[in-house]
Amino acid sequence: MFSNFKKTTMVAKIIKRTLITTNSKQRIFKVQDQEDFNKHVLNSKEPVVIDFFATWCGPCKVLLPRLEKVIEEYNGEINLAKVDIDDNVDIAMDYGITVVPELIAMKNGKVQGKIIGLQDEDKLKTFVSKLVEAKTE
Amino acid sequence: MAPIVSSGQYDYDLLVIGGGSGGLACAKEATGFGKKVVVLDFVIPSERGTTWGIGGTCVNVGCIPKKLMHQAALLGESLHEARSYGWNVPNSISFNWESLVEAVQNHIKSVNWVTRVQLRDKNIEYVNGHGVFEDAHTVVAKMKNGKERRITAKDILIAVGGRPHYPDFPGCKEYCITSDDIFSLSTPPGNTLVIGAGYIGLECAGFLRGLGYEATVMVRSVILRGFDRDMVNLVQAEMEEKGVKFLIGKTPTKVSKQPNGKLLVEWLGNKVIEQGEFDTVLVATGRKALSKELNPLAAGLEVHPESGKFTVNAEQTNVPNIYAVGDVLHERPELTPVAIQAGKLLAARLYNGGKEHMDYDNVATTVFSPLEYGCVGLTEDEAINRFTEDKIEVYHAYYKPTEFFIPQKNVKNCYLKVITLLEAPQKVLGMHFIGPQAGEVIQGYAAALKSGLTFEHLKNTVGIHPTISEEFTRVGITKRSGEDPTPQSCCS
Repeated sequence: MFSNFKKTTMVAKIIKRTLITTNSKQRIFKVQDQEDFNKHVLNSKEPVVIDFFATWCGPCKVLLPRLEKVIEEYNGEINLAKVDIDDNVDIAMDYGITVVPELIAMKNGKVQGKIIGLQDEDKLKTFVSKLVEAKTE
Repeated sequence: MAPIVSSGQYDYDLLVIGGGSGGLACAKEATGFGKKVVVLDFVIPSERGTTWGIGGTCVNVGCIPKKLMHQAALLGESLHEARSYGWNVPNSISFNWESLVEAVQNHIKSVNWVTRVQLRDKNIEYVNGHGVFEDAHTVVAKMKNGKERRITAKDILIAVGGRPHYPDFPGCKEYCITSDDIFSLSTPPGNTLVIGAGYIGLECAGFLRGLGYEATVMVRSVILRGFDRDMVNLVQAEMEEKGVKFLIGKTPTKVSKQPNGKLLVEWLGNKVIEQGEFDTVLVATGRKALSKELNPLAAGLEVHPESGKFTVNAEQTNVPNIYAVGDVLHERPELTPVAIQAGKLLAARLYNGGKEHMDYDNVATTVFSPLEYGCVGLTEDEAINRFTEDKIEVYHAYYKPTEFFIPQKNVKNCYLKVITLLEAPQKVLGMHFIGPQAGEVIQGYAAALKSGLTFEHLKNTVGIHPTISEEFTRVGITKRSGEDPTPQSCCS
């Protein structure tokens, strides 16, 4: 909560973002702000799973690697947008986030499904596959 | 929920300045009665640049982080005691300050988030801006980015609370930290001087010592002013036995930074200047209400010339549509639950025909010193002043918590006191308790006191054995009798 502490985390964020974009063609990325959200989530051509998380949330930390693994299996067919609810309060409020982690499945800017809380890999697979199937409809 | 429309010529029915315990409680209650409410909350960074989220002092830099750090200290003590109960605890147990700070801050952030969600769910508008009065119905919210928003409301609630006061000596603002900073301090505090011996100073010194840091408390005159003297002496004794040093009758005169990075503190004591070197200096010499920052004159508000706080009648200020709750009130206890209760009752009176007023008497409280001190009602001195010595009875006892025997913990300072009227049925005026979990012990007795507890009731109550709280049902020795209040023991 120290101001310099915040600065370091911001720097870390920027570095992380660059690494992710170069390595995985933006399949998995962290949302920076509303503009970023509009551009890469709402207007995304691919379906997007939005992971609303908080840095202080233990279950969120457990969920993320499982989720990334499932998303990566889709080879770019589907994107994962990570939204830190403290950095993006308004986005979280707009989507009625109450408890984290919460996943929202989105296609063409429309919410296809939601799932709240820590999930096992099977549940995540089902959730993501439903979104992919929604694409072919 | 359908959007709520304000009922008159104003933007809102109620505008609350300050998103702390009192302000939020009143805001939530008011929307429950169908009112359109906006809450302004803004944290002016501390001298060291610390800021925090919504929720006010208690959640961010007060009760919550303090209790968590106190718990961290108690756990350290328990780890050592565990050995005597058969646990094989390695000799090399160590403590990591950064991990504690991270855990505490994560908890606070989660509470901040829950607060935001509650505001949304209750349809309360939240503005992250510093509220300044323009007139009795208009407040300008000044945002971080320099933007301003003018908001009007029929009623306005001032719930801005207070912030630590910096005493006036060279180097104070530059080098000292306060309770605003300690709970998010990014590096271990090390050898710490705490200036001020109110409950905040004692609690900070207590948990820092418990976490393994050297801690010294500098006291100008009295330790824990306003609390019962017998109890305070024991709190101090216990802290000293745990290694906290006390410098009594000293006033700081200067703090400067040494080439080695340490802080050199100079103080006046016994007409000579003395000095000492510390890693951290924490000032806890009282708190100052944030009333001036509101530009109160613009609304015609009067503040008390000495305290700078608002004098209220049933939470109403001298301006009829402006109310105040919490730590900005003159001569009212600065306690979160007091602010919450006052805020809720105020909303019920304003918007739901409520008649009940806040009762500021007999509010229980606890000092989370290493050995906790909980109390409700009058101190012995207050009882004597109010009723004279001849008209009161003081029952007292030292006691030995069962779980203290095996690890041979110090029982010398486990003490309690019940102050009653002398005349039957001996109405209880005050109860004081030093021991583990003092807050948990005293809370129930506070309800009893509210219900007109007498000493007779207490005597007729069957205790739960073996607990420490049951000691209140066993106490029978009066101070007047001169009998020894120490219990029998097998050894020591």
